[in-house]
Amino acid sequence: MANRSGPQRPNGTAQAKICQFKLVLLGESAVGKSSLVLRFVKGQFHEFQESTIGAAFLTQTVCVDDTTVKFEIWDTAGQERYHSLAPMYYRGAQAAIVVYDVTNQDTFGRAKTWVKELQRQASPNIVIALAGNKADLANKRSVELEEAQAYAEENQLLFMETSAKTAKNVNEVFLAIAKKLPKNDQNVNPSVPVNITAWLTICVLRAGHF
Amino acid sequence: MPVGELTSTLANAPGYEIDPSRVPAVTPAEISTEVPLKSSDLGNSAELPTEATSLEIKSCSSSATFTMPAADVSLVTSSVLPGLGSSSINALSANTEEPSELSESNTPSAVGMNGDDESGSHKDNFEGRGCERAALNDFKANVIIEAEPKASESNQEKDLVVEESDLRDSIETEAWRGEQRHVFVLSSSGKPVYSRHGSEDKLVTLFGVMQALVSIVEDSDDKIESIHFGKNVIVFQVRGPIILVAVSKKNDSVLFCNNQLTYVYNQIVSVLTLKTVTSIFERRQNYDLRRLLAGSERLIDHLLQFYETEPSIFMNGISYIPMPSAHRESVSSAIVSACSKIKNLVYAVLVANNKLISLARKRGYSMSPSDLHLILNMVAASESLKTAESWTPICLPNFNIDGFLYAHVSYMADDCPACLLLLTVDQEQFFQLSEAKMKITEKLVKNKSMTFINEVLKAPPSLWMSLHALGLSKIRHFIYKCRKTSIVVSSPLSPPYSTTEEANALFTKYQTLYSSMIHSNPQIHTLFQTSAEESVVCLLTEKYEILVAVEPMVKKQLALDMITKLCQWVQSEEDRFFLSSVPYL
Ligand SMILES: Nc1nc2c(ncn2[C@@H]2O[C@H](COP(=O)(O)OP(=O)(O)OP(=O)(O)O)[C@@H](O)[C@H]2O)c(=O)[nH]1
Ligand SMILES: [Mg+2]
Repeated sequence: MANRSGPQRPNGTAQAKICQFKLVLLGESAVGKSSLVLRFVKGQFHEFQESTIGAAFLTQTVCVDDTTVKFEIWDTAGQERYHSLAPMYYRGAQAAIVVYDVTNQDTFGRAKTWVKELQRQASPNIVIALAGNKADLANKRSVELEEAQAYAEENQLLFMETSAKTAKNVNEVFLAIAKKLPKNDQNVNPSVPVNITAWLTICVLRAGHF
Repeated sequence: MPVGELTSTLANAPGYEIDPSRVPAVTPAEISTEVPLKSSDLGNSAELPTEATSLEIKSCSSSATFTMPAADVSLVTSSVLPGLGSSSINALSANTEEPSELSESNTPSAVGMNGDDESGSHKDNFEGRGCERAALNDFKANVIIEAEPKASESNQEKDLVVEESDLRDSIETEAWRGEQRHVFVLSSSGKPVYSRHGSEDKLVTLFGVMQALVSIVEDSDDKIESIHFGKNVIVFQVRGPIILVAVSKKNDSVLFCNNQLTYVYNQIVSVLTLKTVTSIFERRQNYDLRRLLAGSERLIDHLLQFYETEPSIFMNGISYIPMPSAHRESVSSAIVSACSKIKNLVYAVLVANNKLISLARKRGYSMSPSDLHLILNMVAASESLKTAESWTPICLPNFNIDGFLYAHVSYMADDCPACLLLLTVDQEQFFQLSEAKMKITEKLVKNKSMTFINEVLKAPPSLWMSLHALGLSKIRHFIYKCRKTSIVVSSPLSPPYSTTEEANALFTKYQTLYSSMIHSNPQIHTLFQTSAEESVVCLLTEKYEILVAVEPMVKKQLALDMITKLCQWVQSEEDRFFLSSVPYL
């Protein structure tokens, strides 16, 4: 498995700051939202990933510079019947990854709709990343890289083509978001355990998955 | 040709022309005297002469024509059996604690149980059903007059025009035709919603035919319920904008099929709520419901299999993981103490291996078995719940058919098959419930319940050992249901019933026997059926119902003695199988 580029072993002596962010994944069904999360959190990929029921909640911690960033991730279900529930998950989210499938133009259209909805309804400072997933299926591509890139620039989104299957750019997307998120006191985990070392051990253990 | 193979008629019919000459060929008189009762062939699987059994359904562009020259086809509509339509539906969605209620409205007598040919007596039965004859007359008359405009009116023209080659491709596949049980769901305008086997897209013609059948009978202010054909049966359920159809070649009773269809209906409602289903079709009659159900086919597929072979669902009861009552109480108290202060929490359910470990509920709310089965089905059919905490809306039809509950779903630990569901009416409560779950885990670890649950689930106390010790090793399998509590105790399926096919075969026998008894009037209390593979015994008493498979060649009296002993043992061990009182949250 590819070495994890992002999370470094926290320096035990450094003044560690811990931030907690709520991140939501949105996008059409079957574009690979759960697969991206599963790759990021557990380092796994399932060829037959089941369609998500409702939404799944996971956490993962990464370390950026001297800060430990704990993501609280909402992996939402892309099926149409769940759309009305989406605001529940993006409300109050500091970050969102809008996912489309590079082999399916419709899902790119749907991603744009999600971006619009987020820009209108989510918190104004939300960091949005656009992920063109299934980049490993380049031969079936139907959304050009340039097209998506241009759109992302226009809308000031982070953008990457990813593959949950090969792990390409998966950690990178999350890290790019972590870097862009403001790490002011507001986001410092209010319930930081008194025992910081224990907390960091968890961080290390989790990173150890990769 | 049996009805189950109606599709082959469809596919092989030269040119798919309407053959009007065949329709009038059936005079009412012929039907009234020749059509035997539907269950006439129960237990008598003798081959029927082809021309005597044909129910032909021909399809020609936008119209469907049905000819029924056959002697052995019988059509049951609601005016014939007034109780069957609505009451059978109600009875099952609540509970079947009093199955005898159903028996009156269904088949008039315990038919064909011994495999005897009883067709003589069926004729008599049929004579008493003047209205059925009338219904059949109407049916025929309407076939010609009504079918055509109906079909073309309904915006479904495209769907009903089907290329011959399409039919050949799909329907004619051997595998598809070989399936013993089919289930179809369609909208009242004929749009496919679900097919158990094959892809709905390829079966549009068949869906059109089903829709036409329903609407033809509806046009005469009647409701189609079932079509019978040798040992085959087609059962229809019309639920507002949704039509559900079961086709069985397995001697299944109408009750069995109807209950299964009700589960399918409840599953659909569980995903969408009835309110949504109704309002969608009010707005757009030919809405493609698959859009909203996408991803739920998995749940329906699993539910169908579950209904056929999961003892508690099969018997419409509840099963608990056997464990000493003190252990169960400490699990329940951990859950209750962590949850009791949470407003809006309605149920806390801990399940494993399709059984309950513990169930706590808000005062004033009970959990109906069929709602619980939907929960068990969701858990069993969704591997993905193991990877994360989930938060999902779920409608439990007997709790509130028009609204969602929100379920916090999580496994107790990575390597523990016990799954906890906390169901609330408040959709903003995820984090509060997540915290409660953490507290529950802590408490269970602390009071050693976790270790105990893991042990019990890893190595369930072997019922076999107990049976052996009791001298009951000739009993291969049993399902026991306490009528008062609906609690079901069953032995694990082990050889010779360990494969799905073997289990299916056994459960089919159980079901045939059980339904024929439930239908019997006066009530039959004991039925003993022997075959080369095993003897199956069904016993109904005031207190319990029991289905047992014993080794073949065991004499009836010995079998009954063994069963008596078994029931005594189950009752003496009640504590382990039953939750004496369901704790309140
Ligand atoms: N080749 C390839 N397949 C992928 C990739 N990511 C996901 N898949 C596959 O795409 C399918 C759908 O993936 P999911 O992760 O379930 O999609 P989802 O967006 O979570 O879907 P919903 O939960 O229904 O909203 C699965 O079969 C995955 O194996 C990828 O990067 N490359
Ligand atoms: Mg998913």
